Amino acid sequence: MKKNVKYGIVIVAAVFIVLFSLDIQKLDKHNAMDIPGNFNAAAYARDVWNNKMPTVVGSAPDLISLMQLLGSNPEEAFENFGIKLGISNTYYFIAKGEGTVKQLNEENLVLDVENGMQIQLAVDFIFGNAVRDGSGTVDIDDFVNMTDFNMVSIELNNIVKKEIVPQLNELAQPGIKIGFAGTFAINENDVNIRNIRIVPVSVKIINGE
Amino acid sequence: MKRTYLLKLLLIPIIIAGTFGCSNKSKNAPSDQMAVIVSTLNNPWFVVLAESAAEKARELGYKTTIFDSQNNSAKEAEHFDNVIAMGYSAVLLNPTDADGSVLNVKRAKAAGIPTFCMDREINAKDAAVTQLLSDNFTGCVKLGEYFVRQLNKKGNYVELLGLVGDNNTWNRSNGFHSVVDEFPELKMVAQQSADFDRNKAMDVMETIMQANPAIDAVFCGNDAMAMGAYQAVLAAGKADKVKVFGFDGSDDAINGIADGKIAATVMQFPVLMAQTSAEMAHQYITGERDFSSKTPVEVILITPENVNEFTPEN
Repeated sequence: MKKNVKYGIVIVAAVFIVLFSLDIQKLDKHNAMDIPGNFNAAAYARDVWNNKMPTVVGSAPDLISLMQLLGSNPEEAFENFGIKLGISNTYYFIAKGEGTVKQLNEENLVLDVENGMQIQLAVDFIFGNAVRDGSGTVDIDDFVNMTDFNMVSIELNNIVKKEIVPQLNELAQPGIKIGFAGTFAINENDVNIRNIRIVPVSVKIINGE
Repeated sequence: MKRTYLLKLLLIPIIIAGTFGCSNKSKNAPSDQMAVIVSTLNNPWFVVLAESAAEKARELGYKTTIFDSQNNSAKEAEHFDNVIAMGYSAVLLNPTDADGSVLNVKRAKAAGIPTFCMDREINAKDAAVTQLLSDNFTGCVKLGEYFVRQLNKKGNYVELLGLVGDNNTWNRSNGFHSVVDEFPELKMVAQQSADFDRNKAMDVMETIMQANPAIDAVFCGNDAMAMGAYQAVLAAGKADKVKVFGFDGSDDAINGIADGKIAATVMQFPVLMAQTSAEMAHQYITGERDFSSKTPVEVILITPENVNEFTPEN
């Protein structure tokens, strides 16, 4: 009996030592992304574009309502619809709407939207993080370093340039009505809704005149 | 009976050690000290970073010590040895190397000492509590757009890189190239490291200009290199032909923009990063655990159009 108690104590002690000496983590927390230099930004961006972007676009707020809210109560717009990364004055948004093509410039397509307002859809100089951060589809905490995180922006922008911009350049003539979804940035210290430049992530021709 | 008693006596410390882990944090050392370990104190930018972090930590009630790693990973490892042995409460770290510093931070973590990275990044998402970093990529996207417009989308240019082991070097370069590479008439005739050093940048630029006399612009990964490149361009009598672009927002560069010597720079906020790191460390010590692994800090493009808002007298 005494022998059993002795062995019992030894086994319990061994279990304690093993349990508290080891750091057991789930295997899915450690994937190829955690190895610097092993990240495939193009594949990651393609996955985001195909599998996350359609859902985000589907639930995006109406652009006119968002612009009106930005004009009347920017704090509420930032709080409810804006995405800010780290310490910054810049908020990113996604929204969808419709507009009639007024003119096609070198860098932007100018659209008349409701209430006499105009917006610009970018067709050139598409750089930076508006698509990545405005869509809210990419979490900085998933990345081992900022280089990989930033490469996702470059690849998402490349998809826009290769797949969305050609549609706009080819189909959008003055007078045509188009539907769109896109992302844009607003500086909280300079809220200017009369000069919003949107990077398109989805476009469709509604009708032509 | 005697054997059983002895066995129990042996088991007690084993169970205690197993239960509470094998932390080597000294129990005799003061727990109200923060260490500031900085990559180098030879560069005024990092002096500001280190002193601002230390000052904020002192304001928050901590004794602070600044350790200079002299851009040497081995020296940084020695500092971590001391910090762990002394049982500091937290480390505010400006790492020497994105890969080489990871192990040091992990050793501190294993010893129960949280690390907060400032300005420079380590390649790990589960070692430091958080990393406060300038948004170098976005800053250089803005700088790249301005660069393209200033050169009317064509010309020959040089890029001077910073330390090749520092992620900031590549985030700046990648941001810049994500824009500039889309314009085929902009040709990079040379890309070379000058280690963020003014004198080295002057030497490198002089050599590059001898091989490539027709240069329209130079993009430098920091302002110290921009000032060195400007000296080389000036000495070659080409100051009115070669546009010099920097990064940091140093007083030299701001004054250079105001005087028409430098085309543009990007303003970083080292004091904000340092102070926020100290505040986050204090929050961690007092129980907060909800931190994002990285906290980017927005930067601002400075050009002749807005430089008056940033000149030292303002």
